[in-house]
Amino acid sequence: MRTCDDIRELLAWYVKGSLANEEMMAVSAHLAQCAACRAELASTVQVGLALDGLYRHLPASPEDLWNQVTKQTHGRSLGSFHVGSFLVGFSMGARWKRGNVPIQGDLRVMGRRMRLFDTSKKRSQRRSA
Amino acid sequence: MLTDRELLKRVADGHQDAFRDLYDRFADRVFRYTVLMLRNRHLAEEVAQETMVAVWKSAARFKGHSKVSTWVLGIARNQALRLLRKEERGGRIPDIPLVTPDPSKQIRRERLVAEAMNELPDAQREVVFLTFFEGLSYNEIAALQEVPSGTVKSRMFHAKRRLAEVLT
Repeated sequence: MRTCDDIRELLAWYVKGSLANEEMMAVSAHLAQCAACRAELASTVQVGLALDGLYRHLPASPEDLWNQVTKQTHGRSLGSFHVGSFLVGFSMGARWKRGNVPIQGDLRVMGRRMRLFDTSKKRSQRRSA
Repeated sequence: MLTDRELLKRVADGHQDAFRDLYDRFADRVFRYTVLMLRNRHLAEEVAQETMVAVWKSAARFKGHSKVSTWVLGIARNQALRLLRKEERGGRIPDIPLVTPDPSKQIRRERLVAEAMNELPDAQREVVFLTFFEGLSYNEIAALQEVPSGTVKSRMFHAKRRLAEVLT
């Protein structure tokens, strides 16, 4: 038998829907017959709503972060060019990575990117074959 | 659209386009989490960068025992704690609040909650973030923080009481 204290310490996860099914049902059943815990639930919902507003003001990742990451994962960019528009476009770029110069070409359609070719993959596939 | 697991599998196979998609899904979340933990945007950027590089390098080691998001946040947490220990040894102390309220744009309730969040102990603030912003269960948070689930519930209890106080 769960006490009010047991139920109240689960309410944050109940509000977010991240409890296991059995716990969700136990909390729901308790709330149906406990006015004090329903008041606590209302308070938890208020906190959740205020936090939702706060989350929108947390900073997004810096724009340059992707470039910093890819310098370590894919190598340093040697140059690239882009043609077309947001609707349809083509881009090609070359990088310097551990003495190799892999070249990639992408087709962009409605903002989605599709890799057309990647010479680094051919090299690694030849190595593994 | 690929699931996080499918995307991570493609990353493990060396697909750079999949890595870009995974980055787009997680970079902001990782950065916000590390800002919250470190309270210093420069250090958070460094940790977010190291985290995403680690995701690329260790994607093949993902065992599937947790959600991909929990796995990524776990990497970020370990990187942040490692950096925090190094910075503390060097005498550098995190120096900014979690969020800087802007009275002209934020309504009063959000400003009060922001201030209360800034004042919470680190472990409590992290539990609030992971519960309300990331939607993690208390068991997942317990695994991340490496504490019993009762400790997570207790941290949430105290944090929620403080946040509710400023709203009344």
